[in-house]
Amino acid sequence: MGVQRSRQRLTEPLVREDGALRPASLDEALDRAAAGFRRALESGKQTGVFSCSKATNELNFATQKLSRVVFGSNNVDSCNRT
Amino acid sequence: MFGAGGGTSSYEEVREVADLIVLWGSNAREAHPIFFLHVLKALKRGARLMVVDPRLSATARWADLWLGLDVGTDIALANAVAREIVEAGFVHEEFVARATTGFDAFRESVEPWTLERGEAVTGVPAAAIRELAHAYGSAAHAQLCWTLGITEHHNAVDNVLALINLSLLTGQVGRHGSGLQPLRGQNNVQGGGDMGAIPNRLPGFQDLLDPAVRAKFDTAWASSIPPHIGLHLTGMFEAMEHGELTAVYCVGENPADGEADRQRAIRLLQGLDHLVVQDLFLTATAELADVVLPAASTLGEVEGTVTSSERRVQRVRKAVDPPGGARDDLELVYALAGRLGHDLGSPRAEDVWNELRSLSPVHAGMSYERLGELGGIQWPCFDESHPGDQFLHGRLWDEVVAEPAPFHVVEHDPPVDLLDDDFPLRLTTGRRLESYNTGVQTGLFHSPLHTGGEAILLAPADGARYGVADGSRARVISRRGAVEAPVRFDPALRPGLAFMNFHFPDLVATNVLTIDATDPKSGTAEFKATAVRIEPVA
Repeated sequence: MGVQRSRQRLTEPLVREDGALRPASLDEALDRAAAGFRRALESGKQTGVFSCSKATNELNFATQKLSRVVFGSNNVDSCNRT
Repeated sequence: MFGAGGGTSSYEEVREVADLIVLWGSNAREAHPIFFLHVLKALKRGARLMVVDPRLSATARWADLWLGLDVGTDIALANAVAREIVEAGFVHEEFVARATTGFDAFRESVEPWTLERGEAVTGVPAAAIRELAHAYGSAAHAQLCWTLGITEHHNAVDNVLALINLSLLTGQVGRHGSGLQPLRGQNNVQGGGDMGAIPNRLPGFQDLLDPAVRAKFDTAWASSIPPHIGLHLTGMFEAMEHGELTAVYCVGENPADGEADRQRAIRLLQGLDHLVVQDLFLTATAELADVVLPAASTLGEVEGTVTSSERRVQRVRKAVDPPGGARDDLELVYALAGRLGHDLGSPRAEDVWNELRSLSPVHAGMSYERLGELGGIQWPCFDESHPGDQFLHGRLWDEVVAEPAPFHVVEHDPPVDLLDDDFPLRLTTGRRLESYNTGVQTGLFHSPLHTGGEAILLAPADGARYGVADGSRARVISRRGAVEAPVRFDPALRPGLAFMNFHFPDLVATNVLTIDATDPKSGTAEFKATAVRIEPVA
């Protein structure tokens, strides 16, 4: 099962397996998402958060808070330069 | 530069009070249509419009005066305007003495920029430079507005400082009706910066480098915010190049299509150890991800607030549920934090907003209730009895100005991607009215305004010179890559200047061509100035 490039709204999480994206439960997707960041933090590598300005003030507050509190990083930027 | 980033005047002042509006590097008619409605009402009232733009854009067609300068010569033009303002006696001497610093050094730096030299370097006739200078210097209330035309350059910050210098020379800032308006692109790019989603500021535009500010946030969050500024987007890509940055959480952005030098951006994103993308659609960036999270749309699927170019915070409201398993971004961000062992609190929009208010003095008085009642409030708004400030920097008109505004000496510095015999044509890029950025939001809609997708626009004389016909296909080649595109002749372009949009990356990936030379101070890429050549396609 694969996922075609689509012009339709995303309605379910996707995870990469054997080189391709496949649907997954939110639980699995969040676990995988977290595991990758844990790996970066434990290896001492830097993280980056891209926060977008199509979104609300509240969302931008949340992403910068996550970057600073959870990732311990000021590497956060929004689409304010294009 | 003045202490906070935002338009200094309200839209109302533009519409009702200004007698001169200068749009510098802004095609507002197509790129900021709502703002442009306010400008049109001002024109109807008798205000004059002057437009500085290499192209005779849709906006420039409305102008009383169009200054068609060569790409990347804005500082040269601004310095020539400044010198003429001084020469012709339009300096607001009392304001300069009381509210500014650095005038003498600035005056000396613009002395070489005579009208004749200005014309030679910018291509704008001396008479037009003179007319702009006299109009701006003598206006009762002038609004100086700019956007990406001057900021998508390697010397973006200097370009903006050059314009601010003009407002300080003439006292056209800090009082009702007069001001400076950086027009913002995305509907909430102002808000993104205000909320601290940038590497050098905390929420409420508070200074990350101030230990007292950091202590306030660290106490509230039980965190340890690093005491140095972080990487901006361009810096993050650099860090990826060096293998130092290996994990990215990308919420609602599509750098695989939107970044200058697209091929490099894709290569670097593919090289990441971990990429999580949260978006509405499976974008080009999402296709590269390890995990994709489906998000709700700001347009009607969530509660929250956004902030406009005139600093007005307004409510957005949920009208429908997001489709299928798509979730409010807030829920997803907070859930991810939870999996990493951090409880960030309640993800409910109003609770998040109230936390922001408790930490940001300029937003403190903006409860959801007041925002609803008043239809929006401009920051700063310090408490619930404060109505919000209509215009900024009124302190510059106090009898004794505690913090005067500085003039900055800025030098003309032409675009980085140099023209030569192999790449003799200057390509600049821009937006069209009916489309937006990489087409994620606008590409799916059928509209009579979609006039058939991407093309490279050439002056007819250049078509003849390079052997490409109107309506034919051409190869457009830069030092970084090549694309094929249909050719359309546009008599509004001067020979030597070509133009492309970037709204339809499936059809023509314009950002394959562009250079990512950035302004070291702002991180903005020089999208506006690429050197190319054109070849006919057999």
